[in-house]
Amino acid sequence: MSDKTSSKAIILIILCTFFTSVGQLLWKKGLVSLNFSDGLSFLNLFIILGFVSYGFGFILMLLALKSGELSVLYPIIATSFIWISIFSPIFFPTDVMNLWKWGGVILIIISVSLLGMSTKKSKGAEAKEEING
Amino acid sequence: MVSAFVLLIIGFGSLIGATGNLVIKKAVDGAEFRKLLFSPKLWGGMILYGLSVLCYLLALSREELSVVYPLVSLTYVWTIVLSVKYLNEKMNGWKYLSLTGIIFGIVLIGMGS
Repeated sequence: MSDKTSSKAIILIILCTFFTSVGQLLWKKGLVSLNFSDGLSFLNLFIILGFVSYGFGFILMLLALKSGELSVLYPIIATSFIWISIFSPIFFPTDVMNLWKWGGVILIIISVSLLGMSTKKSKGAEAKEEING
Repeated sequence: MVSAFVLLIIGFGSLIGATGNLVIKKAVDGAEFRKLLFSPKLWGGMILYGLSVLCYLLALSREELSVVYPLVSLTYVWTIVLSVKYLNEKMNGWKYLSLTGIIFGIVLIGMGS
């Protein structure tokens, strides 16, 4: 039993990173066009769509976590840091990536993946758990 | 360089979000899926989540997305600390490495911003 994560869980988590990343871009777009003197402008279309997209991603993540191992799912979730670093500068020209930021992003992706690995049980522990039911 | 205000609001927001994680975890552990809808813990966790999103949006209104988004990985650091303290989860080498790496990553992004 080296891999208990179904392909369904993997597809769910890939869709989750897509929707959460799109949600971030929509939020930023909505906040850029925000007029702070008008309180109601907080509820502009981009921000609302951002909430819908983010919420959808959140539900997909819960479903994936139900049937998948963190050691597999966390590294995939962490790829959203790459998507944001690529797409934010494309949509928002004032946002610029540089070597420091890429270095930080890569370090964070590796670290989050390691965190997923830390949940992987040794074979002995897994067998013991099966016996105990 | 990221402003102190943005750092503070992300630090605070990610702590609230990680607390939300912890409360939601306590709600779903061993619970039946249908009964979850009426679980005060689940709703409490959701409210904390909502508050952390508000902090995030406040930070996002003042700083670039490619800076704010990775800084939110601070949530992972808080989650490790809280789940060791309150869920009796064990600390191990992977977790120490991960915690250190995320903090260094955040420092690098701060330097590049």
